[in-house]
Amino acid sequence: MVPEISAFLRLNFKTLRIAAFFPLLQQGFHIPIPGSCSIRELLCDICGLSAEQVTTRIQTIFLNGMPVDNLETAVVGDGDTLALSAAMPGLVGATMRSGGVLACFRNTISHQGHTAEIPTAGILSIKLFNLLIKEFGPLFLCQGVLVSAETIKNMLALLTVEDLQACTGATLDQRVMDPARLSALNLPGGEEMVHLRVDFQL
Amino acid sequence: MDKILRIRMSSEQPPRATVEAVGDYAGMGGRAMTSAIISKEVPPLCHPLGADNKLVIAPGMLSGTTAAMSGRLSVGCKSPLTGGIKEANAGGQASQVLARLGYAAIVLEGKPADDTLYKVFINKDGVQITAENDLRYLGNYDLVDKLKAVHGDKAVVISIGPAGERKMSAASIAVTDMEQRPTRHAGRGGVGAVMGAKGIKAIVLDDTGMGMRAPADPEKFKEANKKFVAGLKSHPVSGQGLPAFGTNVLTNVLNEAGGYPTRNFSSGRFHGAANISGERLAELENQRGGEGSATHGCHRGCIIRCSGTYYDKDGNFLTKQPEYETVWAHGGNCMIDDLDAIALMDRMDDDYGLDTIEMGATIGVAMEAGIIAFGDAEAAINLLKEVGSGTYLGRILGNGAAVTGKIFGVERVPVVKGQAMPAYDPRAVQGIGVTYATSTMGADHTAGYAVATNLLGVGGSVDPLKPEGQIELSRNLQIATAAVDATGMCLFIAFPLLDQPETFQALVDLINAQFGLKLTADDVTALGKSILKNEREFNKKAGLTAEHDRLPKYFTTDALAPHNVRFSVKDEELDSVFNW
Repeated sequence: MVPEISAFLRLNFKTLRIAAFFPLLQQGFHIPIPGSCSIRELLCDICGLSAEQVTTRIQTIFLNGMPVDNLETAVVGDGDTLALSAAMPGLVGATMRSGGVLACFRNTISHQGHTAEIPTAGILSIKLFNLLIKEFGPLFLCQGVLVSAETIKNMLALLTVEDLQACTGATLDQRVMDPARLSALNLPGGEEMVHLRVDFQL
Repeated sequence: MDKILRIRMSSEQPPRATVEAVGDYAGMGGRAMTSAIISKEVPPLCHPLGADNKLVIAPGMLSGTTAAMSGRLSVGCKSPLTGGIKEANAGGQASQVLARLGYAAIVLEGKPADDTLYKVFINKDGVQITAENDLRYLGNYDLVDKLKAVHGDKAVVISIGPAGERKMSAASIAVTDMEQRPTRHAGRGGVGAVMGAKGIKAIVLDDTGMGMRAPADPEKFKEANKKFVAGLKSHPVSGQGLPAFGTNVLTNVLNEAGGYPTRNFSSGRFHGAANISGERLAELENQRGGEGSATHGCHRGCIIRCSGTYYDKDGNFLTKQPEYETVWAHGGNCMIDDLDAIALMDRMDDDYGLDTIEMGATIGVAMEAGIIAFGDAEAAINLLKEVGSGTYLGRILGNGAAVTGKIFGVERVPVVKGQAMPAYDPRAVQGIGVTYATSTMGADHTAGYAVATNLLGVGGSVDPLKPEGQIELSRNLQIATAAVDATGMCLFIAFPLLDQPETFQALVDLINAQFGLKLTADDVTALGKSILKNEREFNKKAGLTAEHDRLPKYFTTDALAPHNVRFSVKDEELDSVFNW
């Protein structure tokens, strides 16, 4: 179910200050989805990644904590959590790899088979790990993500002096705000959902 | 590398040093050398701290050459922790320097007649062994500072801390890195205790005046190294992920998979994982130490540079970037999500000379016993101080998780053959459980590595999604790993070798060009098998049976959240791993 959005926050940065968004991107953000679909459809058709990016850059995928080997048959829907990672080192890194030769090592936790597609709109939680934070984080932030007000407050509180200096503009519900006072923004409480959009003018 | 240095400890003063030709051990390096010597010369039933055990320190076959990634040092003995054969492996500078000095191995033998502590100094002119009781109980950092003042800033040090001097079974052997810090360790299995039992505090190496080891075919060697380096640099794991985030990049992934052993292996997810993730660690290191602090190589010739440098809040050096295993052991396993506390414990482990995996697992067992509370970082640090000081409690903890569990009546102790499990729960990753159970080394995450390509048959005849594949894969991986451990190569060449047949071929070509051989992939397999055969036979004679190739029972009965899985590989299947 798509939740009600309590506020719209838009930020502009003149440089790529992606580190400021590391915690948010790795702990998870939400995007609205029109209905359930395969992971490949989600990434390519809805999120706008190219087929090559999906194949070569996203090498470890979890759906609700289960490693995914087949992006065509694994279906995401309302309330699911999708975690995306680049290739991981070591034996266990190779084991978790999507469709990897060592997939049988983790067969008891692997995502199995098909799930029926449901045409109901909803939200999907996405987590980005390691190299993908920098590679795909700006794309998702630019398209707009849904995050709890609590998460936004925590993120704003941790902005460094350099982050604030790089912020060239901020609006909250279309009202212009002073970027220097971002940490004092009057946001709704706790678990209320905020639509965050970030543009990096590179 | 045509000679072996044997140092015999006895009542003779100073101890006798003999240099002999490699003889029957010609052509061997690394784990091939250590396991060959131990299996041939050490009585399997001997006491690990007694006169009949030997400590073998061996560079890899390619160490001391210009081959990239060739700086791993193997240390072998009968393990005081497992009672079986042990090979522990360290980065740092020692392997390159020892190889350039021409030594295929240093073998410490016998037992000193009293508690005199010795230092061994080796350079191009020979070997000097001196009594150095003023080094007693020095931590590795102070020790290295003292030795630097005497031997200069080119000296490489192999040493033990107070844990090794007190012969604790979790004691490691430290090796200095490029900055002459004792940050790289041959950690597992109590190798430091055996060095302590031999009365050797430090081995100092100086290769001034020695050149790189020359290959038999320099042109072919250069060509092969070029292809090897290109393969490593172009691969996303070795060329991007590891340099940017280090091994701790695995925290988020394992946690997401529900395979991150949390609270002494009682669940597979840790709520604080993001706070101690590789991403967070790299960000913190770069913030405190400047951009680039999260990227560092542990030895000259390393081009992956998976390590980094950790600075404290005031910008002072604290420790090298803690590895995934360390962050897990002192972090999630103990419910601690404070990177500064974890980094401090990493420094203490390095200084006292302790295996971080064993210590973290031991503290987890101590928490389960109620000695301190889960999540209490300060109390965990204080427990480590007790180990460093050698208090009675410290001596218990310093002998590892199994001993600690027994003394305090804890049932759930995550060990195999007495050695603590590393940072992957075998219920979520059953295949690694097969390796934990069956490896000759005890619970070991590096024993069955993803090294070989389909040329070695890894995955070649196995459906990757079928459960039956695990046994054959574990077998092939253990074979391949044993072979790589003989070369001195860092195991992080694994992914490029797995993905890129041309990179694997470049490794084989490097070996051939160095020694003037014509090895094939089958020969590399045969090498791995021969190493494992030596090790299995030793373990059998040491009294290790099929019953030791098992996980603790509770892994088959207790379900692991969030996936509620149990270890389900059957005993008969475990017993078939070494059927070839």
